[in-house]
Amino acid sequence: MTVELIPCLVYLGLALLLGMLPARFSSRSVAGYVAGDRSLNTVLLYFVLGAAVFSSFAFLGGPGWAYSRGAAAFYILAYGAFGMIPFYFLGPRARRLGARLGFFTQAEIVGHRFESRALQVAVALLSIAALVPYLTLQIKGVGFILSVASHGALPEWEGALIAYGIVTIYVLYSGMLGVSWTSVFMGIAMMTIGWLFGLYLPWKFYGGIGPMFHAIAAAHPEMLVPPGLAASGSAWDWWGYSSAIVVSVLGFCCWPHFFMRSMAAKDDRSIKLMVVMYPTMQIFMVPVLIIGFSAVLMFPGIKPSDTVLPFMLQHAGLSPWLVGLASAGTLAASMHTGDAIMHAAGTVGVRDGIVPLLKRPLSDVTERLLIRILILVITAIAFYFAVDSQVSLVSLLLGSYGGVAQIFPVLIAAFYWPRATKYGVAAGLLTGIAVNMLFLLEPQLKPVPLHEGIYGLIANVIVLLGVSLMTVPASAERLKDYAEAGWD
Amino acid sequence: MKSRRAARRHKTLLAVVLLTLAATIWPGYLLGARVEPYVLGLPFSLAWLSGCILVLFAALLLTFRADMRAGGREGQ
Repeated sequence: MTVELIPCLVYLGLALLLGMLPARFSSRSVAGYVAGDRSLNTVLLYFVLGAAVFSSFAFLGGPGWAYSRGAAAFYILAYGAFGMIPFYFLGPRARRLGARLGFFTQAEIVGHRFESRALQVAVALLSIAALVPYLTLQIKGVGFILSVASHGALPEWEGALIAYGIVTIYVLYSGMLGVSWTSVFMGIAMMTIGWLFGLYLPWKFYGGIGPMFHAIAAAHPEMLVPPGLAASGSAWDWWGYSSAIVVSVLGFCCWPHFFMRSMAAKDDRSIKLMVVMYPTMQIFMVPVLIIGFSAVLMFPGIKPSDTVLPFMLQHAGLSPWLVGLASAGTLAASMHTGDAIMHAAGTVGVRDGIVPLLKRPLSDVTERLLIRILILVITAIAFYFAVDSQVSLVSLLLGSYGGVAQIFPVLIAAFYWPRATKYGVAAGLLTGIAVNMLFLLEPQLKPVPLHEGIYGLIANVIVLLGVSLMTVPASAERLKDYAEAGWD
Repeated sequence: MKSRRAARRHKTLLAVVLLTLAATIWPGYLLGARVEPYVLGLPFSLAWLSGCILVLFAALLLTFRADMRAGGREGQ
């Protein structure tokens, strides 16, 4: 065993322990498994939702973007800072509604508000279609980093199996509380390790952060001026940069593994305080980007750029203990996001995909069992894609970002526009997804190079408004539940 | 229902959010899109963005405090 593996194994052991323990504190009900008995405080919510920021993409992709595209990577900071703000208003409403009517997912709210099981199932399908490639990327990241830490002794699939075997055990055993307790541990581990390397690498190579940026500015000034560079290495345009931020901001809190956490919150205050604290997560992202910048002049030509952190770990002459520590941080980043996605996908699949199609309600025990089975199935599918499939995941994931953003008008209409109808929302959602897919697959058709999600959103909103005004609104009785939360 | 004061507070928050967002995309970010002067070792473009995030954080914090002081469901 290599020295580099020791911090990874210690980390994995702690993650398993912290993931298993909280099962003692939650009830043996669906509410306990899915939403931690609606007991999550601000700290737990902050770290569970921080999974968005610190994922495999952040630890591998973030430095990769900074390394290859310079200031373009700043877009990651911007969208994460703004993305949670709609949740300040939507989150407490969803929580109150969920607690009163027994909901746990966003699709349940959509289905109820618009009196349509088909819409509920459609939102659930869209959610799972977006979550599986996301999970697959997390699993790939873990396999890759453990293979580097073991000097290739552990093949990628074996590393991924060990790490995600552990994640599967605690997610199945402890549910929401397992996900949230481990999130706190992993979040703190990642932030500490991110800061450590963000300060250490520039110091080691250049004598500090200031001298590093001065050196980059002298050699490649274009890298430090937004919108930075495109993937091809030529200058990126402001259309692309700005619209990518706007789409990501609108889509951010619509991701099912975030939105449904409002139903796990203890009270409105916890949700609001979490949103207030959320931009601080982005300040923790700055050193992660600095890691990528530190490689620009020292290690030119690394391809693919996502491997810049592992490359530096192998070739920068770092102590094996430091390499192990960075590897553990990357594991934490991946597992932190992966466990939340697995848990959300299983829950959404059963509650929104299976339950609405059944004639009679399921018992608590059966529903919990089904959710656990589905988590296993979804993880197995993602694992297969991660180790054995040649499907281009990055393009799937890019497509899903624009697709998930199409849920935003649906949620706003559900809570803020009594006149919105199920036909309006369904037609808007389908049109939005179709337009998004069209411009994703045929980018040359775009009038201006805006993110395809923006075109989808414009079409979505126009159709939603038009069709709603032409169709019969929901019953007054149904709207009463939402009016009580306030239409303002 | 929301009180007038809460509504005004939330409109102010929305205005600050839109302004800071506008400062981080085109054309607002053009003001900050340069390397110099360096702030705490960071190029001005990154310091500008970090500054926007801090302004946003402060606006959220002040709104939250006022909401909590107003108490109950009034501030929601």
